[in-house]
Amino acid sequence: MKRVGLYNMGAAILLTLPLLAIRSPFLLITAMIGVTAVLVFLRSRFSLKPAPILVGFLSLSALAAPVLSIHPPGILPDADHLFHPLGMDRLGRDIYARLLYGNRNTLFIAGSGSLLACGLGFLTTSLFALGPKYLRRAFDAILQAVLSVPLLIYFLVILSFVSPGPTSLILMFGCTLWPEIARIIQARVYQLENADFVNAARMQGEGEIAIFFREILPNLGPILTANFLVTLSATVTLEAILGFLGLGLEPGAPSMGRLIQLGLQYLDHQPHILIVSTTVLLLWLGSLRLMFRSFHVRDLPLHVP
Amino acid sequence: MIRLPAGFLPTLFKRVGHFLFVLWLAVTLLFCALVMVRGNPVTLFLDQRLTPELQENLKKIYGYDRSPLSQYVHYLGNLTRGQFGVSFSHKQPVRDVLSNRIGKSLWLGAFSYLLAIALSLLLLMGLQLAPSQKVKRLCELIYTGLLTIPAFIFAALFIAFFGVKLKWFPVFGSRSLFQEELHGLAALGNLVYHSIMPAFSVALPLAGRFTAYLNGQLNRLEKAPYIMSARGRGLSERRVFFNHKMRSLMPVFIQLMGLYAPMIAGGALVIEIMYGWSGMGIVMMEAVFSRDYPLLLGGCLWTAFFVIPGYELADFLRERLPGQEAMT
Repeated sequence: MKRVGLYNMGAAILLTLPLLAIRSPFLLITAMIGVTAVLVFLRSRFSLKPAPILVGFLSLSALAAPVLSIHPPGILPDADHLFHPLGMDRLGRDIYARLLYGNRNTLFIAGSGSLLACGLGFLTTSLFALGPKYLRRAFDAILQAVLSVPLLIYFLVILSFVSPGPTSLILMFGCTLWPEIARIIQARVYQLENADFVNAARMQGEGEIAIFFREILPNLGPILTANFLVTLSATVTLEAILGFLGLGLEPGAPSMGRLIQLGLQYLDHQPHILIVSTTVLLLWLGSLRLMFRSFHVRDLPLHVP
Repeated sequence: MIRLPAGFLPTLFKRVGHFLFVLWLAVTLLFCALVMVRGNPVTLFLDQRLTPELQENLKKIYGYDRSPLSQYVHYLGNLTRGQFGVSFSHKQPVRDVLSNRIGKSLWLGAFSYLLAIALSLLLLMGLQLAPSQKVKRLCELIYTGLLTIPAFIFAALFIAFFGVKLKWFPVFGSRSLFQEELHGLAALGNLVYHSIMPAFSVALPLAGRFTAYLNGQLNRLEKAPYIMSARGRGLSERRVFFNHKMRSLMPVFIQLMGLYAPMIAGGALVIEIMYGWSGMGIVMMEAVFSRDYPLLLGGCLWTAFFVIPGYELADFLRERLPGQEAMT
């Protein structure tokens, strides 16, 4: 219960940080109390866990970015006369809007990328699980060969050929992250194939295909969900790293990594940019970790730096 | 005479054979991919003012006038002799370019790995042996934080605070510039001084992962019969921790080493870029952006050479370690 209170406080602080910049203590305090009250009410009414609340909050704010942001994230013609909750950068772009749109880009790219990766990993694994044994061996070897090159090298090679943009990032994440997922799901399939209940089904005379669909597939649900969450947190990090290095999205597009870099540049005069952007990224990673920790997943693989 | 366990040599041969096969597969896949995307790489690097005969001659010298298949056979033949071809951008054999950089990456990787092990041991001692609940809570909080924060954020914050603001540590490079060549202990000290910030930014998230993983394993040991019997004999908690629990975790340490060998060998790319640490990561990045395919292929092979045995070792141990089924 204590921890839940802590997360609610975190969410409340995040929501009200924009108001901090206008230095209006009254509004700040009322808003903070209001948000905390709403979250506590939701928690007591529906007995929600903190992680889903956080993920829901971040996703909702990503979806509602056009409504929540006061200005568009691009360059504004009369920026000096407008109201900027978090200030603006050297080109006169609103930081608050860029934060919301960066969060939106992160959710869109990381979500679709990891969905694609999980789908590919699952499809290939199930195809090869149904196939003969020697094909499976060959598939194993190819997976190992593909995994033996560091992930970021693939990214650099791909990014030097394709044009920057969300679509190419999603395709890139999907096509480079699936071998790791396939390997994990495959290990689980091997275990299940030797399980007692599967042997019993085999004794009853069920065919291999029927065994796969009736006995093995229903047991793959948790590991698939957990892997999706792990991959999601990995892609969120990778997208931020690529943005931080100035790669990935087309120049000028709002992204979390770029915002963190901007925050480092403006650290002396506007430290709140770094604080807010890092907080949003860490809220994503922390809540996803809380969610997949409940699956007892081994979160060692994925060599994310 | 050392007596090997039964079935050791056949298993070893099988594993080594599999390793060589996967390595060959990786070379072939990479070569195919590069042939598909590159066309003829020499044309990118030749001065257009050269006469066509000279260009043809240069292509012949580097072996790019032949068909892709014969290039591949030639490359494999060279590999068996330890030759990786000639780098375009460095105008040197790939082997020389890589051997200059590998040492730095290995140093950074090994240093950060040891740091991570030391930090995670400290945290584990706090988690398992601390007398008060408050210390345990604190350790839990610390390692959860370390798990959540990615390495590049640590690196960015270190550079901003300890490098630029406080000026405690250098923010760039692996040795001091504008200084006469250092020797012996002074050079080593300079290297350590430069590698503290990059090593910590790699080690902190790694320590979080190690602690989470090892703590899970230790908690699983709690109900093991030999631990209960040790407690029943009146051994102190500290002795149970070091002599009974940690000792049985030795294979897990080796497994972790196997899983993180690629990071040690291949260099942490992002950290190397951010700190200007001239290791493997930066070489590979330069190779990608200058389209220096022989160098890229050589670097990937070097990493693969460590990754594949790492996975093999991890697989091998996973089959033997108890209680691993629940983890995957």
